[in-house]
Amino acid sequence: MLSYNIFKRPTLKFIKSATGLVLAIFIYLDGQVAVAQPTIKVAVAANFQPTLQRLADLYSARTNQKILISSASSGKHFAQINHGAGYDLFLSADVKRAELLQQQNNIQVLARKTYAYGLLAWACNTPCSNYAIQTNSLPSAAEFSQWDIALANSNLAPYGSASEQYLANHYLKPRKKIRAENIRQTFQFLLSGNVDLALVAKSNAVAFYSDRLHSYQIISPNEYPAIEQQMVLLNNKGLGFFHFILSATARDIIQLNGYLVPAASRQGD
Amino acid sequence: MDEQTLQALWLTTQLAMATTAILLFISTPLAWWLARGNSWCRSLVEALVALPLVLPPTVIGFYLLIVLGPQGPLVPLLDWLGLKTLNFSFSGLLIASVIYSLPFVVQPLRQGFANIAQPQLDLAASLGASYWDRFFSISLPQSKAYYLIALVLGFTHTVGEFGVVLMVGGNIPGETQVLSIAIYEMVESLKYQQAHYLAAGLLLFSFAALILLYRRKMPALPV
Repeated sequence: MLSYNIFKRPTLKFIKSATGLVLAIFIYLDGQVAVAQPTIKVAVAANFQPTLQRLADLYSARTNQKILISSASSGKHFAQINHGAGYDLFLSADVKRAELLQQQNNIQVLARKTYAYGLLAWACNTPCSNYAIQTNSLPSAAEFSQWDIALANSNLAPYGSASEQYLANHYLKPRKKIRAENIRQTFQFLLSGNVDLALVAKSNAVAFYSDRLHSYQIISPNEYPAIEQQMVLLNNKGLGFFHFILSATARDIIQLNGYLVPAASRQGD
Repeated sequence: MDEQTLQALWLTTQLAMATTAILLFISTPLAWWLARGNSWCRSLVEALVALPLVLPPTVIGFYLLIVLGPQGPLVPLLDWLGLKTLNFSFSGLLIASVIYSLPFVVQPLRQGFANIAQPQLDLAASLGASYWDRFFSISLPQSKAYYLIALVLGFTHTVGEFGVVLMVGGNIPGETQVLSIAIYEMVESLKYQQAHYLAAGLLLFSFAALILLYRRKMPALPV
């Protein structure tokens, strides 16, 4: 009978030794984890990921703490955190989702701070001046209506709503608006030649300019609503890194990477 | 339901119907050849047809973005049509869907055609039935069940398409914003209530379609 066979002596012996082996592996792994510094888990909005990587490298070098970065849209991260994802720190692309997290009953938010302001730029496949896009000059509405442009989806990305507002403020109506699901996807559409122009994040344009992008033109931040990006501290494990992001050193790096930083903030605050 | 949702619903229906119609048309000769032909390149074509089953949508989306765009090989065709790109348009989505859903239509039909007994066709031929007569009076009626499988799978799979559309669609309401993209946008922008309506609706639709399929006594699905 089957039930008898299972408990025959050799099988039992095998189960015993296998259990022992598995236990030994677990105990070994557990020891390994305990020796290392705790890893800080950070969720970051896609636009800030390259900048955060630089900050994380510097911080890790200083403190010997490992930082695990997960980059996605803030909407996705919000849903994940709200459903128990164990991030220590969440850098949102906007204020709304950071604020919403604070209002959730099941989530404990220890602190909330603005870490950067995003900047918009035009990115072009041929020199931007070909499209009459230059500093302090805008293309005419008639010219503009011949072009297809890529921009971030205003429902999904704060850069998208700022872009829409910018176009509306200047009565600019492109032939076709191709809406990317996040600000980085606008580059996919532009660099593959499918659109003439794209409204992009300055931080991404800075990163791409040297090798792929033909030209870009920064748009004055007075011409669209501010893209304020906030972060929330979800676990005290992330406290040190949270403070580091607000430090003078980090602020310089953030600025160099194409953002504005909040004005009133004490060093190390 | 707001206007945008209705638009997405209608667009998805149009896309799925057009895709399924085109697929049934081109898959019939293709599946016949795959089932009954014995060319040396049969396995090559069969593998090519099955590729969308195993490739991530990102691979297909990425290549479509390039191939259908102004830096791709279709530029002469695009120039002739007076277009800059086929991406971000209904036609582009249609091409993408036809490629993406191809195996879901070809494979059932191929199996159906393979099941037809050769002696029966030979007998009909000996009685003077022409090639087309044999196809329309013997092969086609005997493969009816497989056509139903192909139709349902082709339609539902196109409705369920997401990754490719996300990459070559551009989320334009009324033109490329299909249901799956609309749901994605609702979830991402925290409109969970609206997302629930659409997601549950889609779930029920797909479930009902598959029940319809499995209720009939049929051989195991090939895919």
